[in-house]
Amino acid sequence: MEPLPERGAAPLRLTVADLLRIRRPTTGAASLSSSAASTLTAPPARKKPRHSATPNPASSPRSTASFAPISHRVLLAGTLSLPAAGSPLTCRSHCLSLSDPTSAAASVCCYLLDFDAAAVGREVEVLAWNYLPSVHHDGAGVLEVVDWRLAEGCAPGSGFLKTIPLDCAAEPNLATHGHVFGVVRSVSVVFSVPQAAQKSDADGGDNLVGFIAEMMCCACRQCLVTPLKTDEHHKFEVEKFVYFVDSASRWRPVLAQLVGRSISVSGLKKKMVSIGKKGSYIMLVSTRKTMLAWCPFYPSDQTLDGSPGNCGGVYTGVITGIYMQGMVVELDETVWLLIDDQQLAPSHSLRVGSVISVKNSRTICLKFAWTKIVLLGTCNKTSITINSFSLVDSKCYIKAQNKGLLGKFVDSFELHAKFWMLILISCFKQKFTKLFSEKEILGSKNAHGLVHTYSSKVLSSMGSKPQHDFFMKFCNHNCGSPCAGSNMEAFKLVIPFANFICKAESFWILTMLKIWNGTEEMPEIDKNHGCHMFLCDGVSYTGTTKKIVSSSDMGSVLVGSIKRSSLPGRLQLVDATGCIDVIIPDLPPNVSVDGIYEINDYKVALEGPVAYLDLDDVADPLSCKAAFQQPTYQKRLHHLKIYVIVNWSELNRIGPSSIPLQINTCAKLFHLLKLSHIFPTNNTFQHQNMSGPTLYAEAVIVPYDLKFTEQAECSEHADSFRMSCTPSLSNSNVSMAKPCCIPCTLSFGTTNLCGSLVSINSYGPVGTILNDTVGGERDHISRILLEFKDGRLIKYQSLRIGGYYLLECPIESMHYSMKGCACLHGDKVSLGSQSRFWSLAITFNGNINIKKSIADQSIGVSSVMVGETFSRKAVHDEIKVVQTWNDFHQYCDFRLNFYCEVISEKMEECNYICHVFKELCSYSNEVFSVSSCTKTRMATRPSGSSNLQSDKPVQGDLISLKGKVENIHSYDCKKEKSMVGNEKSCICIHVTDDNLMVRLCGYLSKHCYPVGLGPGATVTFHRVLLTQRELFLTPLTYIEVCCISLAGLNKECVVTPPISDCFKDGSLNRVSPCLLFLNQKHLAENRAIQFQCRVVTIHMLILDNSLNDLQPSDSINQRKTINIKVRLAGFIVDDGSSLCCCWADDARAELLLRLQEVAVLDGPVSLKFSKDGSDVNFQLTAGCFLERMLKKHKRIIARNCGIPPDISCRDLEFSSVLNKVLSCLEEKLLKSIILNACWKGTLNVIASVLNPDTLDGFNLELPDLHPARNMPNLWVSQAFQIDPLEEARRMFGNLENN
Amino acid sequence: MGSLHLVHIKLLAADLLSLTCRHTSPPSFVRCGRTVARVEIVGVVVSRDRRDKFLRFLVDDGTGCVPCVLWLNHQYLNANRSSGASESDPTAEMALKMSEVVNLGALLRVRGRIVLYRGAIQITVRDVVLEKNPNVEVLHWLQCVSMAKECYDPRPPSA
Repeated sequence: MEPLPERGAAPLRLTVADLLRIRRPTTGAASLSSSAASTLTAPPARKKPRHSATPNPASSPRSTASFAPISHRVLLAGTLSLPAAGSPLTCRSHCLSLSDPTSAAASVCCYLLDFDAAAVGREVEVLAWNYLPSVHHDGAGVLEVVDWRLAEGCAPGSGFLKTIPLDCAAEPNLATHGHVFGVVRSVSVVFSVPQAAQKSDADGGDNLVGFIAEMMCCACRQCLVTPLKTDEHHKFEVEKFVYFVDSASRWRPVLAQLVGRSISVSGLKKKMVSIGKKGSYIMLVSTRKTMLAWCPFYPSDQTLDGSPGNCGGVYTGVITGIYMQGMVVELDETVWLLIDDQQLAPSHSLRVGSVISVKNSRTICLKFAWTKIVLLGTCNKTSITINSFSLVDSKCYIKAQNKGLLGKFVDSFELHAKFWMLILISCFKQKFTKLFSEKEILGSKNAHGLVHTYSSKVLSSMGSKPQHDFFMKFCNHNCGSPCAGSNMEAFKLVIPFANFICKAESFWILTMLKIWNGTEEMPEIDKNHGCHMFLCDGVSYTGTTKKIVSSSDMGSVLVGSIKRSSLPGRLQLVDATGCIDVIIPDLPPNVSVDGIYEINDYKVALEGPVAYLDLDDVADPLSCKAAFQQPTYQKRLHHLKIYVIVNWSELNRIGPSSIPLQINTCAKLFHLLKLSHIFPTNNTFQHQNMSGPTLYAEAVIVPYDLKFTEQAECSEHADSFRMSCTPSLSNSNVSMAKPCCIPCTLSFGTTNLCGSLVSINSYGPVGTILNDTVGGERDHISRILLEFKDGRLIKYQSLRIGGYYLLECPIESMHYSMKGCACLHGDKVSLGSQSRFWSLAITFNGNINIKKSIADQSIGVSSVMVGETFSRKAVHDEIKVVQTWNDFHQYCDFRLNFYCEVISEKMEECNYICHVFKELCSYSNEVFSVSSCTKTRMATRPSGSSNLQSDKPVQGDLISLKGKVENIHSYDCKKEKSMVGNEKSCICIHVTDDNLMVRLCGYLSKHCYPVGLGPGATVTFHRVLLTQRELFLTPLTYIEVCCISLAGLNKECVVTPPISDCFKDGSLNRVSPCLLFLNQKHLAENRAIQFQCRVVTIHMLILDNSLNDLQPSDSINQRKTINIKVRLAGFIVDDGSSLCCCWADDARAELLLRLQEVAVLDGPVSLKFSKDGSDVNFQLTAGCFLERMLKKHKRIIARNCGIPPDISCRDLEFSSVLNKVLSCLEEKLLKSIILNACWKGTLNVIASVLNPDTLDGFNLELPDLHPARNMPNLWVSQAFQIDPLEEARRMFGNLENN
Repeated sequence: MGSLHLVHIKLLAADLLSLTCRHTSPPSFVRCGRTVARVEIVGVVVSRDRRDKFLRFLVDDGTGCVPCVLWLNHQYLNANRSSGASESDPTAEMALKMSEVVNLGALLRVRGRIVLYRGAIQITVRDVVLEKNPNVEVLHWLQCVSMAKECYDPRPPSA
């Protein structure tokens, strides 16, 4: 490290040649006074230097590392001159050149702050500077001059005008001819035109470089007299264009700084400039004798025309972001600058943190569909100057553009469309980088990419802007085209899905906040209490709610590929950033959904538990910044379910077209099947087939086969197919049978075939039709398992329980046995990608149902009838996820229509046909409504609680149930069997039909959880277990979401508590918290009260063994819950104002006892097991110990003879119902449970006056203690944890109001 | 309802420390004409002194510091009783467990009897609950205000 020079010593002199040896971004200064006042420009040298001065040649100049300061004072000196003719085009527009006075070879591009035209051609001392080496090792880099002064001895000249020499040696020669004096209004960038087209005497070269300056000149007489000497009152009114060509173009950096200042140019010639055949312009062109002079004393004219739409505004701001290779710059985090031409700005100094001034720009307020922004539009008159350099960033953002078709396409649009296109490109890049190559996304020089395809569709209505040559554009400039804010609503954000999910979460958080602040209306909810709670079995669970956001609120378009998930019925929209579940209610079966789709109109459904969520400062995922910056969003709310509902018609494919349905049916045999069940994706099944996702469904074999007759041409009149009864049915009755034909048509696609259903007319006398046969057949309905292999997943998606399907006979053996075709003999039919499996709609005269005159039976399935009960109370804001049977039939591959009236002439035939149709349609499971299910259950409903508590296998019927989901919450299943996979959780679903409510409990794996299952959804549960007491979800349960409600609903509902005598349902919901000592009035009216309390002692406790006679398994010790039952508990509670005795049972008592908290703790005993000779010390949990204890004693009663509110173990008395003596350890555990409960925190309790009869059944001998005798006795209906924040808010509100 | 001596009244430290002390035996405490004997406070542990037979700690709730003492001498108290009784008594164990949550900086909810020790009010701790949600402190303040308004401060009808 070099020794630091003393403060007083002269600074080290640095030459340009020294500078060029630096290979990393460096700052230096001639003064290192740390006390110097920092200014906005914050010269780097004023910072306390920390690093070594030695530049590190190894470090890459590409790095975005900040500038390294030189730790000692350095003074850089050199001669400032106009840029050399050979310097790069971008620098020629902005930069001057600093060179060593001794050797002109060492020169560096430099950009000056506080530019003074007087310095050009003179020696300057650079006092503070940043040096940015070139990315390329041969390049010289750029010197950013923060502070400078003229070298001593270079006294500025005097006079009204000061010349700016082209070369240092040039002498001022203010020529008299071709002279203009005026204010520079705008300056173009340096551009080149082909030399051949330029009729000038310029020296050779292919291209002629130059720039145009627009000047407002004075036309007064004095101005015509040159040289100008005095500060006359000039009126700059005449617009003139001066074309600085060839070497004069080196003045561009100076003129750019002099915009708004007055200059004098002499030695110009009026010339005709013709550009090819496009046109010619007469303008003042510079010659070799042209001299430029500026007028330092003349006030700068800043009256730029800044009206919106006109490119005359000035904006100064800090760069906060540079995107899209420098085409888009964010200023002050609010304004967006769109840089049309990369030469407009000094590219190297355009870094994050710099302060820039944009002159002659246009301010447009853009109202896109999703956001509003202020856009600064640049044009060829715009000039961008740097006011302060950035030290935090040394990256060069602007890269040379390789303009393919897309680049030209983008350039062809007006500002607003162009800006949108850039956002689009950025979003598409984000969305599809991993899925496609960049060429496929952006296109190449001769092929259109995905962005181009999409955007040309959106922009088709927009005309592209006319293309002109540079002269035309500059001289006949008109930026006032009315594009601002016109039809920008059509421009939507093609949102990356990660951003989408983040936005959806923000919506959710906002909704939650509104709910908590009471500004969001929650239907049918008492806001003061319990809106977040759902009561089940007397225990509160967090309620769930739902919000629907429409696409117009999102302002964004979804573009992604649709992927079928391996889970049934689940589609996902996928891009590289994430995926969203999507529901397409009217998805036609058999369409290939592969490809990329655009969805404009959709609804986003958000479902999750009501909880207090705080806004965290995640930047708006829909902002333009987010679109450009490509931040990575991660899902924050894992409990929130997000899915998109979209109609099939809204899906626009921007990819390959769909594959048409092809049916080659001739001479094939099809079996008729009716689907009876779909098995949910299950890990158990997956284990058997490791080859990939295989899914299963079950079907009933309907004893009819479809056979196409072997006719080459299918005509409408010929008998082209035949549906015949399978021999199994006919055999038994063949003796008395004669064939019977029912005409029917089969249509698919555009084909219409006529045929007949042939059955065996085996009826006897009228009215005695085959009842026995039918009954006999139905006893052994042939069912078959359909196995869908990977390739047939698409079919699996469109399966519908109750629907008919035609299965192409894979063997076509025609060998029939009693059971039918040989291919159906096995229990399983595997459907691979080659198998044909078509859906079939059966109609009767075009109706789904047989006419009443023919048969009084619904033909579809009974769910049609259930559906009707729902339609009575039809809610309009519902989306049908599962098609109605009418729609389903429309989309079926085949439609089979019977002509009933043709053959219903005779009664006998009519009856027969009815029988045939019945036979066709009778194989279906009935779908119960909630009410009908309850009736079935009520018949033998015993008292008691859930079966889940015992390990006994539950028995009952598998039924199908349809209803509206009221609430879903997790459920504390006490039975925690070892399940396959750990992703199963025990949930409780409350289902209602607007009259009654039932609940379904059980384990549901994450995979089986269908999209859309949430409050308000109408759902059919296939194969749920109906026991005498409860309904259970089974591993076979298939959940079909039929409708999704769009209204957010969260109706609080009470599931009947075990002891319900003391409640009136309505009162419970509207309990406001109060103090115990004030509650006399409430209690007198038999109303429930809510209060916060702590248990002080336990009066009485009865614990029961809930395992009955079953052995507790050894695995108990790993469980977290315990299988015991609190039959009754009397707690003395204290709310700070008064004491009372609260009685509770079951879950509420468990909560007040904190039993589940205790259960996991180590019990009072360790068991020693001897296993293979070695002792294993095995600590039993308290819960396990308690279970064993209760198994031994059946029931334990604890009484407290102490005087409340004090608790002492000495006052506790225990007795066993079997009169066995409790051991020391047993007593100790019980005591510690009771003590623990009495020493715990606060709970919320809802209770009402105890019905004296309630305790009668227990035959209690209550300890008659003085304080307890006078206490009010309450029955606890609900106990739940306190949310301190919510309580505090409520209490604060109350205090404020009073 | 006139007496509050059975309930744990929710008090701020400043209010607790300024209770009127009646020099009865044992001393009793009066607030607005009502006898109070038990209190519940919520605050942060600012000092902790663990001895063999007790744990002494200070709870600061922003309005003052309340000295608290948690006795850990239950096994001595049971010593003269039959051995079976002390074996089956988990009180001492549980009191020890409770003392473990009393750490410096912990937010605690403390219930206990109000006693006079060397002329100053202190709490003989009945139970200590570690509060994990910082909002309980605010809730406690509000409850103290609300309870005082509705319950503790109105003069009893008899007085």
